[in-house]
Amino acid sequence: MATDANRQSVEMSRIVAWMTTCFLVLPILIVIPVSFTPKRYLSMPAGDWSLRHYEVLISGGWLSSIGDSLLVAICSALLALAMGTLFAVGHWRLNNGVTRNLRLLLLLPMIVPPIVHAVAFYQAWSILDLLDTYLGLILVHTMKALPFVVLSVTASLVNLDPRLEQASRSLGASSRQTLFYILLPQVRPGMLAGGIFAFITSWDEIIVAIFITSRAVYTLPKRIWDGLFDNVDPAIAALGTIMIIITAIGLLIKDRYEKAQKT
Amino acid sequence: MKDALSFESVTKKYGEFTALDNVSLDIKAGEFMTLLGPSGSGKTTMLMTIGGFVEPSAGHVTLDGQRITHLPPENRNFGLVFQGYALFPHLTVWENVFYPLRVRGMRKAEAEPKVRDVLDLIQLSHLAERFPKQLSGGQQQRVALARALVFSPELLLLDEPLSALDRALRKDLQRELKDLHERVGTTFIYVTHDQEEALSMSDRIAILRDGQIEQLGTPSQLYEKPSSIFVANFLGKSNFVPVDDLTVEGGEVRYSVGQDRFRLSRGDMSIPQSGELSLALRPERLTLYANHKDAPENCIAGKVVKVTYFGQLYEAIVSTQAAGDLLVTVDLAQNEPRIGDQVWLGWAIDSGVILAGRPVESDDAYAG
Repeated sequence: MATDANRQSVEMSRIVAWMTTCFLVLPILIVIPVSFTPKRYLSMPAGDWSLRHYEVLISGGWLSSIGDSLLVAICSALLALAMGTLFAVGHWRLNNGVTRNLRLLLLLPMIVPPIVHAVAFYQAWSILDLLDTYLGLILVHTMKALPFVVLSVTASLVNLDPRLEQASRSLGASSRQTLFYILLPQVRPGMLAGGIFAFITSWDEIIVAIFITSRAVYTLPKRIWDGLFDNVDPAIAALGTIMIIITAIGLLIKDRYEKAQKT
Repeated sequence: MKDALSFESVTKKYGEFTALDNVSLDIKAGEFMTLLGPSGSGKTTMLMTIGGFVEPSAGHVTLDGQRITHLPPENRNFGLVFQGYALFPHLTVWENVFYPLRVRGMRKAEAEPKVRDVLDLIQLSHLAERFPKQLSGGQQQRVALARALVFSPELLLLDEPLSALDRALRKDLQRELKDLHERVGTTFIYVTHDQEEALSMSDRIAILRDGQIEQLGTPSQLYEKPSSIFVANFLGKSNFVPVDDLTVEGGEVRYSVGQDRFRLSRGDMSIPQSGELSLALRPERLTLYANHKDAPENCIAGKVVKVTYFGQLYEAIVSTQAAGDLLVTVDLAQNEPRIGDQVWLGWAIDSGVILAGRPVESDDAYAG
């Protein structure tokens, strides 16, 4: 009896899990059929299929926007990673009132509403003449990505034995050697996670981009947004489909890699 | 022998708390010096001051006469073995031992023979490619030692290196450490709260209490001639008998326990003469006699109330009228003491030490 009841509850939770998955995934998958529509606006294909919207992606401005987004995301992720990691390590070592307050300050971009942030940056960047420049956008995205790096690197430092640093220095290593040979290898998982978060933060950031860029810098989220405004362009669905496929491939590779590591 | 390292009136304060209180100590080159004390006595602060991780609030640390008080740890060339080893988890045994040479700019090929030698010394060459977490506690301990020795440090500092190991392994490693000290000839400064470890390994021991050195000397000096009740209690077991009417005549001391008068040859002891006094008597300095006529001049009557068998000896508790309960060890060559036996307890006139004060009942010094 007990095992029967047990089996039943396992069965139930499996159903709930699948329903949740469908709830989360199905709305996203809708873009796949839509991307194959032959029509010029977002619609379900009715028996007829076309790849014309994929063609548009290769031509047109889409490729240059992907390039812009990649450039900004990679630069701001690297900057955020370098500054955030150094800050987290410094905070871990000193952990005094100054670094605690600085940490709060660094986490502000997560707390301040993005729209407020955007207005503030618009004002500031117009004074500094950084509107519609790569540098301007990279700097903003770096600030927005910093909290993710600081949080994830701090998390991997929590379990780090502070004596490793003392051991390294007693063995004759300078602070710099200790940082590169001992501390950074230990926080690599946190840096990886923080770096990915930083990249994604910039990759799909739109609010600030709308405020401070116009034509010289034209990131992908902004072009999608404009595309939706102008003519409900199905190229957006085609782009969505490609991103879903890339993400799925990425997850598969990660899964394989982790399995290979375990054996 | 010349002094390798000296503390000159070193004080370390953390806010209101004084971790080291005006400590002066000279450590000789090549010596095995142990800093022994209960937790919170300042022994680890002292070690970390030598290592350069704690900066004294006042006073100086000198090495061969040079002040090194403010020298950063990486410029001191001291090996440090941590409690819990602090091996680098992402590096193999070989890479861990290579590390101090690597940061000194040595290439792998150049360092290979040195690393080999020191791994051979600790007999772990066959595990060179393992990672620390794949090793047992004792093996990790040896790797930590190898890593701290490979760059020929001027001093080796050890912070309770054996405390995480089980008892049998600890005994083995104690012997290995002592061997190692004799072979490499480096000055060892060893911190422990384990009195047995301190007695069996050290050339000299400094006993710390509340940030001060309570007594400094060889293990046998400290054990046989403790200068205070704290030391007598902390190192081994001791009986404390309250004494009165102390008189000193030349080389002889006379004292009363209850109604009886006893004799003590003074030797080079300094005898406190005022305030409350106690006689500290080690249990192994007491002998049981069945008859009064066999007993020596210093003897006291009592009754056996408890006997515990320890394999190589018995421990008996003898209840006496004048001196209370006394702990006695009886080796197996003597007759087995039985509960209820009326006995005489005797001790030689050169046994025992007169100390100032009376033992406090709930003294935590036994904890060691």
